[in-house]
Amino acid sequence: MSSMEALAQTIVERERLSRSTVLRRSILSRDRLIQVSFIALILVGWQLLGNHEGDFFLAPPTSVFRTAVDEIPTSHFWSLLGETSKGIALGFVIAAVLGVIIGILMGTYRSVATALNPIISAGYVIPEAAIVPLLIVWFGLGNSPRVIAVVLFAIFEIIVTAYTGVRNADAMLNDVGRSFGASPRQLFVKVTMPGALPFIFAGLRIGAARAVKGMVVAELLFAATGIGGAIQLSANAFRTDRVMFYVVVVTVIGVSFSSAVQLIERLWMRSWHESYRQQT
Amino acid sequence: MTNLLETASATDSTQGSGVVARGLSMHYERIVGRDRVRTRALDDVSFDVRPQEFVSIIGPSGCGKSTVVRIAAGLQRPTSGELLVGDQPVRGPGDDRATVFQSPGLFPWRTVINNVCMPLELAGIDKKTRQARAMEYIELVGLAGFRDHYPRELSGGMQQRVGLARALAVRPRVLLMDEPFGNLDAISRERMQDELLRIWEHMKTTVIFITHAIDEAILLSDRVLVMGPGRIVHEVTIDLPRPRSRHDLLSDTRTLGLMRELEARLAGKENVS
Repeated sequence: MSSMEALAQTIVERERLSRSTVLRRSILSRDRLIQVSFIALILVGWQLLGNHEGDFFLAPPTSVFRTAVDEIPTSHFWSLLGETSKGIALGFVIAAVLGVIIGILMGTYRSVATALNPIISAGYVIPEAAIVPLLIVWFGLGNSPRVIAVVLFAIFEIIVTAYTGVRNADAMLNDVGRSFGASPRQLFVKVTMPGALPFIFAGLRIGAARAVKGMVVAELLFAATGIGGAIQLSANAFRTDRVMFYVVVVTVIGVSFSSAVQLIERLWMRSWHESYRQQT
Repeated sequence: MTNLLETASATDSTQGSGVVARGLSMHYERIVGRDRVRTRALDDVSFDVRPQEFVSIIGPSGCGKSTVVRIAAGLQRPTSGELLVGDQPVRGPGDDRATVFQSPGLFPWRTVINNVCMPLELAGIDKKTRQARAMEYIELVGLAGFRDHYPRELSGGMQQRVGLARALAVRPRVLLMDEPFGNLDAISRERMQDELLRIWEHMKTTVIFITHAIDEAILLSDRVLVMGPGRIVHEVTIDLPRPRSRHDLLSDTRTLGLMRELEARLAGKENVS
């Protein structure tokens, strides 16, 4: 055995932690405590302010909670939720697949990037909400214009991040791969994509959140469909508590979608990508 | 360490090939404003490297020495001339050669062992064989305890060891090293030089070693090619006995003479007294 090897063995020690220690470390952390306390603080402030201003102006959490208890058991609520969520999911999946493919093509072929760049830059800054009325004119009031709105809201972020990720591939690592005889396909699979994946997932996470926004904006403009429609109707009836309840529901949908993407990302990348390894 | 070298099959089946460069030229053209700018990175460079010889190419930065390695690795095509490994002209990358780069160029998302496995994976060798082979070379460079670490968890010197293990795992006939220790601190550099010497003396693969450090070139090489801008200006044979050690070198009177000569050649002097 070499001296270096002996050295290595003395520096690196491994110890397996008990399950309860692992669990405790993941649930009780200082960060978690800070987050929970801050949210509690906001809720208390909201409650005090709401009590003072009254339900009409600013419904306090207790009123919103009462509305939630009334609304959640109704089949009407679940059909709204289903309608909205399905549209978001469908639109997001389309945006994700198309966006990632377009982004990768742009990153791989210079001519594709040259052709699409101006359009993408324009699409990135256009306020999508302004296009929604056009979609209604073109596609009517059915499901498709709403799904298209979701796609438009989400796709540009996804394209740009995927493109950036592929472009960001390390030229050095590309040389290493080539020098060891990697074929263009192997280079793409083993060098370019692993480098681009963190970017792509970041884009998908942002895209998921934007998909939810797209759906609600489309519904608000359509009036009377889905959760966006319910917000519109409640606002027209001056039911602040219901508006707030539905805003909370939309927030929960958005966070769930984003977390779902994040979960997939973690599961996929955890075992092998450095940026996903837990720091100790 | 000697034990390991004698027993491990790491030393088997590697055999150096000769390298011949004939009239290598590399020209770039670029248009800057209204000017067409032509750069002659290499201009008619010829040299021979015998099988199992350790040859260093030394020169100031920007003289084109890295371009020689890139051409030999098959990463670049010369504008004219050709380079032969064994008797085969180089037409692209191939598994008869392996390169150690200046920045180690490790894949940050792969552990040490998976980095060393990478070339074998590209060559389609099955997982069990390649892992076993990778482990041999990881042990050879003294990193057995770090097989599951990620590159960023290692020091610069250790990363460069991984780079060396990865190149050796290919069992190349020619090992190309492009200023491999240039980014290391002085202590790590000396250690790596000692280890490279030890490993090479057992494996006897052909080595082309790019450097800008005179002492490094003398310690390691059989022969040193001195490059000026775009061409080889001189050749110095290092006739010091082998196996060598840093210590022997310091006490050998010829060392100083070689250092003076290389110093003068690098400075562009024609006559060295």
